[in-house]
Amino acid sequence: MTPAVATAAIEDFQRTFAAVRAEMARVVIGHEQAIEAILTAFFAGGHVLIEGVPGIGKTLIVRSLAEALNLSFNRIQFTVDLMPADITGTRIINESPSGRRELVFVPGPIFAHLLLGDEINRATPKTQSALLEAMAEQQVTVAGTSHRLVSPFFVLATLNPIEMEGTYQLPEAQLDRFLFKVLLEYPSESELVRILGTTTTADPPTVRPVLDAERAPARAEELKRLVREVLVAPHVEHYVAGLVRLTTPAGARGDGEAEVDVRRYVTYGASPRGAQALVLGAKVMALLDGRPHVTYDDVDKIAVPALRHRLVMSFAAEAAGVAPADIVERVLLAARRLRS
Amino acid sequence: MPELTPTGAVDSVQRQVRRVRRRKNLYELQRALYLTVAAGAGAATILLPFALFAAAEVFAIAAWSMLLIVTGIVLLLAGAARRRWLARRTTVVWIETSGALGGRLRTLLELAARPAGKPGFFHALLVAQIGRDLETWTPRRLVPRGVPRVALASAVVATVLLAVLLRLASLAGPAVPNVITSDEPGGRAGAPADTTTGERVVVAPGVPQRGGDHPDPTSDGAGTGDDDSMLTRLPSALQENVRQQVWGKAWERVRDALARAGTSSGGSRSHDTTTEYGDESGIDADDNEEWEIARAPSGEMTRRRRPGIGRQPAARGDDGTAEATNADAANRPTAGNGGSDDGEGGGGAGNGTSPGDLFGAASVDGGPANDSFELSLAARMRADRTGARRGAGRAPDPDADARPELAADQRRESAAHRMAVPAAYETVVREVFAHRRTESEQP
Repeated sequence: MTPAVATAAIEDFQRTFAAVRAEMARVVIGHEQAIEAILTAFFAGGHVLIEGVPGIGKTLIVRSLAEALNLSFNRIQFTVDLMPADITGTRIINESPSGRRELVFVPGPIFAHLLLGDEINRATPKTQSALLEAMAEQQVTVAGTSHRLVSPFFVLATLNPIEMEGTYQLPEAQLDRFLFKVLLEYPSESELVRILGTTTTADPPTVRPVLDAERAPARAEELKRLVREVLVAPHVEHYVAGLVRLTTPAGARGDGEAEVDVRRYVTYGASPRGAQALVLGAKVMALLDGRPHVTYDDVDKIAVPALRHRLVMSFAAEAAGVAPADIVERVLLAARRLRS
Repeated sequence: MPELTPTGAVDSVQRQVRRVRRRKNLYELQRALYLTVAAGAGAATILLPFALFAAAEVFAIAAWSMLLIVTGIVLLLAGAARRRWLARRTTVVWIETSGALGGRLRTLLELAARPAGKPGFFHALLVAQIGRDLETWTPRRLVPRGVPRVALASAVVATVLLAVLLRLASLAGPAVPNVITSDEPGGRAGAPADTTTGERVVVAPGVPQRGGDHPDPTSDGAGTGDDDSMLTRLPSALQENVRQQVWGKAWERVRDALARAGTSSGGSRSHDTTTEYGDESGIDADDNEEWEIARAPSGEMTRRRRPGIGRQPAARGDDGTAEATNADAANRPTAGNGGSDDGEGGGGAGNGTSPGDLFGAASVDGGPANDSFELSLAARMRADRTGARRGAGRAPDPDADARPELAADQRRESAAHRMAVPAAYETVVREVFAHRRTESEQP
């Protein structure tokens, strides 16, 4: 591959990324960092867990993303009576024109490029686990038959941090399958004014597709493959490994402030999936910066969204009001000594 | 700069990395070396006046202090050089940082070190970027100067200062002590009036220092007393060496004069006579003091005596001021003892200034035919430096001269000074000067 082709590929990625972000910004006021994290996770091939209070724009973000990428989009409102088959699909008896009856698989809403699982914590663990296989292996198994999901497949699940009654905490295994966890904050006053000005008119703004409808899935997959081609040197891999090890109580053996906090507040640290998320996210960051290789700073940029939902905090942390993101920030500071 | 190809990129980059590393390390090596030279020369510049003009104790303190300071500076320089030294592992990191390469160079080299595999999609682009950046991290650009100018200038300035100081010091040679010989005890024949009253010493040739060895003027520091360890003697030896190197013959003349004087006039020291006897290091504080030695009533007659019998310095003015020649100084390696091992007499030994002038005029060479015998003789007289001058010709206290151990030791060494005594007086003389222990040891 010639340097010119590689350079053109990077520029194409940057243009596409910027165009999608710009289109989403037309309808989503604020949340720039959240949008960038979501796009990063999409191109890195991961899934995103969004946490925010109701009415803050979670669904709008996902819908805008789907429209901008010109990909298929489904939404599942998770409730306590939602069954796994409601997500994956089921087999029904179908009578052919010849009169023959046979079981036919009817795909569920999970068969879409973009899936919004709204308030995923309101479903039972059994239903939540229906997403596990789909998220990890991009396939579902119904009645012993595996069905491949479409590509690209991107899950955006939302969590409502309030109204916790009647909810089921997501199991750690499922949390670990999300590449990033993004927190949506309340918009600022100026952003709120802009929201009022754009959404309450007779002609609200709409998202224009960035990718061609027919080639959108292939283009998205192409861009995702490009991300995987980004070079990662061993020293960056060592840095990521050390960073992840520092988030675990067993790995935080030093006497530094971060290590002490990890031992005190963290019960379980980040998993190897966390390290993978760091590298994949860093690759997107490198491409966005026009580089064919990953640096330390790329890793640091996406460390918080990639690691904060992977830390299982202790009761001491809850009592002290220490959030996982705080621990990640401290670990990042401590991990600077790993740069060599 | 030719464009890099993916296949040869790593080799080209590694060669340039090695060149950068060599230049950087050479620079740091020079820097450490020049600064070390500057520190050493600066320390020597500071120490030189102490070595030339200060007392031994002051010089010792200054020398050890400077040694500590210089050692600390050298350690700091070594530590700094070690931190700046580019190891093979850290060279690429330093280049990345210095050249603001953004991790490209390190990525390429580390990935190249991995087992060979299919080149990645972006490998060619990375190589192209590094090839484009080769000019930005050339050895000359990362290490602009081949020579650390500040360090070199420091070394040159310090060295020049030291050289200038050495030259000035050699020009300002030491004043030769005015060694005065006098027929009269405590007398100052031909010497200008001086309010100071030095000790008057009649050097007994062959009298050993405490412990039986001849004193070494270059090895014993003043005031060291019985502590003659290497660390204690080192500053004095260094000081002596510096004076010898800087002042050369001038210092030899001073040392020779001091040697002939046998002891300095610095009477404020509290050491016993034997220790001060061979001590030169304290003399420098009183360069202009006069030295007195007793001599024979008639110098002419003494000089005419045969060699080995009370030989006086070769060159001596009529006014009584003696100035030894170089050859004479060379024949006196053991300064302060007033004589050497070859039987040469001290400056005032056997010259008739002993109490009572016991022997009178020396006879010719003794032998059985002349009916005389030879007796090694050493007597010492010392005048108070600050007290009232004794009257000329006044005999020292008997106790001070009654030093039978001198005679014993002298006999054991060698008959350094002989006087021919008529045989008729042999019994009396032997009884007076013979050491009891020696006599008791005789069969």
